[in-house]
Amino acid sequence: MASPLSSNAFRFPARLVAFLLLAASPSFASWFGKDKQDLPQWGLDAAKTPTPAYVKDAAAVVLFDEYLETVDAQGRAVEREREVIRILKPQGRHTNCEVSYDVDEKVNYFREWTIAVDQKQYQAQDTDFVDVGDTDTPVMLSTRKTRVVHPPAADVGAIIVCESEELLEPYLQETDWQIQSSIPVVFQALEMDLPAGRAHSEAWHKFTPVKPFEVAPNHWRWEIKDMPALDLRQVKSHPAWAALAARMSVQWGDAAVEGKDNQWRAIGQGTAKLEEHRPDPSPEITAQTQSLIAGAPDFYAKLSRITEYIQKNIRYFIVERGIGGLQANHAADIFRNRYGDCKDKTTLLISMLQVAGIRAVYMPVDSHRGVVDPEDPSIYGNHMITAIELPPNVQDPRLKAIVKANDGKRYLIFDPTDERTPVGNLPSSEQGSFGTLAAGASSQILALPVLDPDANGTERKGVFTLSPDGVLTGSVDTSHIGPEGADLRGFLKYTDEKERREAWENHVAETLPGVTLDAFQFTQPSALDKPLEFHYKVTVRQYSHQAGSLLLVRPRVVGSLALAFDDKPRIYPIDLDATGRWRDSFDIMIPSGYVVDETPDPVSLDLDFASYHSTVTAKGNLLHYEREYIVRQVVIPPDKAASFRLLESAILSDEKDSAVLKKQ
Amino acid sequence: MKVVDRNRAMLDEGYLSTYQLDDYIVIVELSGKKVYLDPGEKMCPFGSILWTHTWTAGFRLTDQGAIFATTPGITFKESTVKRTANLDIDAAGNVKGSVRFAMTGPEALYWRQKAFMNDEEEVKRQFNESMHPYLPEGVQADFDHFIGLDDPGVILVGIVNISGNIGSATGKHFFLPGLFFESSAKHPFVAQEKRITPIDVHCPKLEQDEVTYHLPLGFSIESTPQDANTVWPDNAMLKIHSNVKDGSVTIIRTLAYNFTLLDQKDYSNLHDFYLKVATADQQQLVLARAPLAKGN
Repeated sequence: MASPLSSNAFRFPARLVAFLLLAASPSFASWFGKDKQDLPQWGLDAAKTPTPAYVKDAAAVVLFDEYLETVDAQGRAVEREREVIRILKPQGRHTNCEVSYDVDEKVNYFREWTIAVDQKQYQAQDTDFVDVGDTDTPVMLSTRKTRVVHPPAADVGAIIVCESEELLEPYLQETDWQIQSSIPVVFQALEMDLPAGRAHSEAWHKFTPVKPFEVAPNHWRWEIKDMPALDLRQVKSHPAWAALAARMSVQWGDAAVEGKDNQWRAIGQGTAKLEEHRPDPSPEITAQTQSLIAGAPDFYAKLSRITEYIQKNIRYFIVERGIGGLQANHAADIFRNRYGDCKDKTTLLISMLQVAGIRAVYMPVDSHRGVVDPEDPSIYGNHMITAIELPPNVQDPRLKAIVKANDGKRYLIFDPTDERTPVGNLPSSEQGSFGTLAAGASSQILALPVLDPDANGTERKGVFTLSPDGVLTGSVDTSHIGPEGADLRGFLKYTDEKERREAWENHVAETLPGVTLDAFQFTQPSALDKPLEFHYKVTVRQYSHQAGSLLLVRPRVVGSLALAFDDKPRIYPIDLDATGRWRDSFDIMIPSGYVVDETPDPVSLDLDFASYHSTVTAKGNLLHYEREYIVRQVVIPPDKAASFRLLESAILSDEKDSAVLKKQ
Repeated sequence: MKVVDRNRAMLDEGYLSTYQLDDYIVIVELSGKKVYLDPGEKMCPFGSILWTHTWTAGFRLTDQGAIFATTPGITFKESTVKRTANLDIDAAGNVKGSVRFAMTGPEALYWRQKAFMNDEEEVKRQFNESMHPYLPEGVQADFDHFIGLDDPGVILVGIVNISGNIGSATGKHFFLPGLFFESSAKHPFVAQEKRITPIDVHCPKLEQDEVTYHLPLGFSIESTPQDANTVWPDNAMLKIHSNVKDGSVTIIRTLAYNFTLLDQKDYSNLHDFYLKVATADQQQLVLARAPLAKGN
């Protein structure tokens, strides 16, 4: 098993996994290979499954995938997976089975057989299995490993048969069945064999629920046939893959109760219980907090001094061992070591706020919008942020990311792991998402806010001179606020002077090919809620183009706001990335002896989710361009694809339009 | 002969380590003439070797033992891409048409070898993606089919359908990219004025573009891209020429470079040449709207 979610310090080791190209199980050399066994009958039977027509151009197809979860009296599960895959194309030869495991888990066995194209049968040997460490994230030490089998004779037309069994970690009483993958699945099943009297609940994400049948007392089986692949490679501006892929979750612990609200409450209570006493402040935390808030004139000052302290002083680093993927360290340790992951940063923040008399609670989320689904109560997600309770008398316009719980309390949503988005604001990728408020009996699922366009964006002003030989010189000043400013602060943090100059030159060159950056400066105020500014000077050869007696000049000098789009029918929502307001204002002094003969028409487009206005004017020897682009929503439904195309095509057309100069 | 993969490194004769050497090629003497063969590279035509094995060095076995030796390069005539486009433009700037890619040498081998690790559909998808940087903004490509993908002895042809919206308009004029495939392309060596390391362009190349715009009714041609004949003696040349005929205009662009490796002292000439190429490639085709007939 492998998690379909990238680690962001809050790790839910998703039980039943998305196979990019497949998943099975285990580890330990002696468990594999040498215990030669005949290819089992279930594998031979599944191998006879014809390849259905809907598979189209998939690289491989899963013919059969069956999970059996056997839960003991203590609620701990053993998982068996049986899987049969047919390789259809050369690129499908990389298809394999794999099993993810951590220190609290044990792989009982993992076997693989191949039925080659000539019908010969092979069994994978010890040397065909390899353990892969969890090293994708450079700022992480993890004990999780994935055992991967490289099937022998895996060629086009071959069939891979895998079986594995794994004793799962004792502290999870939930399984997530990833029923959609990047390749089609002809038949799949999940069985839950529960002890007598143990309840379960189920929920579905992006899939019409399927009723189970009881194959034995309290032994349930769900079956799904003909699941198409989810392939987003050719889809422009799509939501995250995990937000669209169908999945199902089963609870058999405290969250196995009736009703989604009750399930979410139990999940939130589970998080609160897991982290109980972790935020308890130590004397050192208390002293540091009191020193920070001394003399703070109001709630915002008190709050922002604490949040900025954590953002700037606690280094992001993940140490993940077993339950450490779910449970934070103690606040005292985090404070002493000055590092931690998202759970740790939230823990220390809750701790320091507690000293300051401000109540805050954990909020598990996913770093990709749309992955956490209110219809699918689950701990599925990869990130932890903080919900800060606002006293009724606090009404501060700087605190924008506010949600109201169903008990009437207001919470400010804040991500302490994001080192640069100021308190009051929220990273764009988290806006419009959902999070679990872990607030004891008031625990619930909450929609995270989508902020007003004024909370994010860029203002860009440029003054240029065009020479008769087509060389454009000038200066540009930009000012960035909100999440956009935060992203650029990150860019500054992780680059040295040479790298950032080169990167900026490349960035500018995307819309000004051949540009030379003559000067480059930035102003980065220490306070995160102040705008980040860039000031740079450019020289661009061949900016204008001679066309007969005319000289063509593009009034939109630098920067592009257009998103990728196409004319294909749309079935998925369109992700607009971020709300915000972007303004450009450029003045170009045209060469003496020329006059502006024609300018492009103004563009004025107002839609419910966005608006775009631009004008080009000429006054004397000055060509002036300005535009304003406002995005009000982060995701729009597929039925607005025509409006989206209209908008993007208007932006694209405006960006490439030329003004015509002629000699006097 | 065991050689260094030039995509990875160059042989350092003073560094006495055989770990420098990557791959084997074969030298066959036929009628007294040495023929270089690359049996490890499937689909590599007889008599040619993969570009990473050209202009490189290694150990060659002779009757006298192993000696240092170099491999030959290829010329631009053996490494060609010809793009022939026929594009219908309407008055709103909508474009529809097709492009025929004809490839020889390394470019053809690259796609043929792709087809071993992937099926043809996947190769088409990747070919489509590879075209994106060369298409004007607003224009989409949809790969249709290959001809000769599995036959290394013939020219590899790819047919691509083109659609989308192109150009920009004002009240009196309509502007189209003069050089369809180059208007959005990032030209190498333009942004960087100085260079302190040698230059390796992998292999020489001949690019020939022949783009025919079929123009909408009600427009006349006001100006076409200026003819160009820019030469960097012994190294590279660019030619641009336009033909206007019966409501259409065909713009022919030929860029050839015949070098593989250049010393940094040659960089200023290289930079200058590509500045001229970049300038020429940004030219526009200007159409004038025909004046409306006056009513009674």
